[in-house]
Amino acid sequence: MRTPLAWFNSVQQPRRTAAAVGGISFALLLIFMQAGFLGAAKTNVAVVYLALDCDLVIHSRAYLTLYRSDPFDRMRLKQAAAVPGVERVTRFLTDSFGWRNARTGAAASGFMLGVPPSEPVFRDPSINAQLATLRPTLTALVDRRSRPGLGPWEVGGKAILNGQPTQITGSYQMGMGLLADASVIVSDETYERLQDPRASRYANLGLVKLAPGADPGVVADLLRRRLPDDVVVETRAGLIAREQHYFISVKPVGIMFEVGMVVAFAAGAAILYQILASEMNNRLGEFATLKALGYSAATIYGVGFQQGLIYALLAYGPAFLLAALIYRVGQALSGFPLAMDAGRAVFVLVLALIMCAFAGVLSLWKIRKADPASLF
Amino acid sequence: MWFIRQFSLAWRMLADRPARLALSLVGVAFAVVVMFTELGFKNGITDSSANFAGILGGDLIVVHPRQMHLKSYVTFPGAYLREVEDIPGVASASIICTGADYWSNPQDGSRNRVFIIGVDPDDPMLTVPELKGLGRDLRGEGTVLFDDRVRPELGRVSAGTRSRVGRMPVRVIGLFSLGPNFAYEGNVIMGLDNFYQLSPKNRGRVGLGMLRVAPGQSIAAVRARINERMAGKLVVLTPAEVLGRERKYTTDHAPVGIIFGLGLLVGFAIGTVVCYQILFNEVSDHLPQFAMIKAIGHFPRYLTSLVIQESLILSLGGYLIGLAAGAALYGLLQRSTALQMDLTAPRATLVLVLTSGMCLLAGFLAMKKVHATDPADLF
Repeated sequence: MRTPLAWFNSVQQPRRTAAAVGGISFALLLIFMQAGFLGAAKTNVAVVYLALDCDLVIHSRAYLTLYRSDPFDRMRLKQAAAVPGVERVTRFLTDSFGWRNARTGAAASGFMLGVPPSEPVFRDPSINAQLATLRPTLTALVDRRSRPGLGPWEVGGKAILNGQPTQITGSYQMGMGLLADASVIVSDETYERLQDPRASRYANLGLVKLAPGADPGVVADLLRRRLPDDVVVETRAGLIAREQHYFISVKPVGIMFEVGMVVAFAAGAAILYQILASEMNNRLGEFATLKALGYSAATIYGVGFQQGLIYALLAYGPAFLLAALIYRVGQALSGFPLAMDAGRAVFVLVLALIMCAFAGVLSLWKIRKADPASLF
Repeated sequence: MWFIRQFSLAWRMLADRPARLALSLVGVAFAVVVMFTELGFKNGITDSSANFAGILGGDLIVVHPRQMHLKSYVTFPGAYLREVEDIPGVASASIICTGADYWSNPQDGSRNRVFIIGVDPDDPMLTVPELKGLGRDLRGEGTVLFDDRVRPELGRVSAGTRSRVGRMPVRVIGLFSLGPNFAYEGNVIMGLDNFYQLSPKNRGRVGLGMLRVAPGQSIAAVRARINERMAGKLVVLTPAEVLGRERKYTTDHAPVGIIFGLGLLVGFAIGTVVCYQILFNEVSDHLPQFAMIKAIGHFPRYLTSLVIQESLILSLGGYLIGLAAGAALYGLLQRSTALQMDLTAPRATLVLVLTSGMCLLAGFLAMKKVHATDPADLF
């Protein structure tokens, strides 16, 4: 068939097509939203690990998540540093802290990260450059993505962390999202002063940077054999996956995001099918005529298939733009790291094309039984 | 009478093509399920976060003025509570102190963070029925009540189970129901002596001072008296106010309200577009019928109410299917997350209003076409 029938069908009644395409757009938007929430939750729970520059991580056997980590003897770090292939082992301290607004008395809680100021353990070079300002004790870098209203929360101000006034010497962007109101980076010495003097004997994590060319798997095995079994060695990627599994599949809120995603899929598919099917049904007479004219079933299904693809493509654009806009608004309002990424954009596009093409063909299924004679 | 006749006409126009009507109802139902899901998530998180506030009893509660919410652990000296006890009209006072620590799974030793509620074993003033019979037994060393609404990761626990809270060995003497929330995987109730042993820095401090007002005294009057005497030192609230404050804190501070609010909005928008698309098709297909109704002398208002009735039938039908599916989903979520997923009448009504709203909105959008028909064109 040389006539682009699917296209003519789509443009013959522009308002009707617009209503259908609008419906499909919203179905895709719903999928974008829930996929975005799930993606943001995954980024959110791993936000600290994603900011760290290391290949392997040593943690206590009782470690649950970064936010419920269990300290271990810092001797393990010295032992690990002696293993061949290890370039650097950084002691990392972390616990929650209480924060108080000096002016209003309002209180909040946040996450404190303690590192030796001489070691560039962050991926973001601007954080590493600012670590030197943490040499004097009772100084801190503060997270600009902390919940608003924490003030004073800017360079030069004094934040009250665990009841002690702490000089703010720099800032960075991390954003704890759902996990906490705020985060701060302090030196290991300041951490011991603010949290617990006994912290001088322990570490919450050992961040291992490998020598160039060293194989992470081999070094990890070597570390596991050399270190006593009160600690566990994991790759950074493995730990991020474990952290995400814990928060998304074990913790109740993560399960909600997963269920939301499933509901979005089912609802998106059902609505999309409903819309396309009623579009195709409107033209059942025309399709039956094609059949009467002697066109093969394959050709007729082909038109349905093409029409599905056209609708999917028309609907995808607005859905994409609207989703990108809502991500931005959602992020600005909630601090939750919602953002469009290429993987998700492609995933939803492919999904849209498959679902629409499938619905286009499926809704012509009854053509098989259509008797052209009965149509007139 | 005309209304019922018209209703049957609206129904017959929709039911003209049963397969399409079924498909349309499913489309609307899915939009309803999306709204139920988003609303359920938001309420589930808010309800669960405030679950501890929901079991506070007594008539009045005194807290430190800087305690903005119940998980801030801001305490006040026990001496303040003794001062409050001497105020006329206060019959009795009871201390509650809260904290958090790790619960060890009795089977595999894995740890999970739990909320610890330290109570006065003689008069706990919590609305936990199990405390009536077991309260006094909480005086025993290391005795606790454990939450039975927790997820399986915390282990199989029953009366008699021995485990640890933090470094303290404990023995479970009974179970109560509260459930996990965003911050904690479960809850433990213990006597104050045990609590102070677990958390020595809280010794002599009070998290919440629970008060019972003497019979015959007005709660408001007693409250005013406490406010006057303890100004600047303590704040007086009713249990309902503490619950409201806790819910508001979650709504304001956790992004869940915004996230699920956006989801709800998208669900509403989808529903509107789907309804519009359905009604638009419906109206287009029955244009000759509409024109005929006009031609035989009905006022435009008759056509308007016909389309509105069609949209209400769609919304009601879709809502009922969506309600059934939503209730099933809530049950499933409650079992898998252990979070509270309550489908209360006000919430179900809210979704019904939203559903009717989206169908009506779509009906008004589709109406333009009906009114534009000119009977003369059709013949």
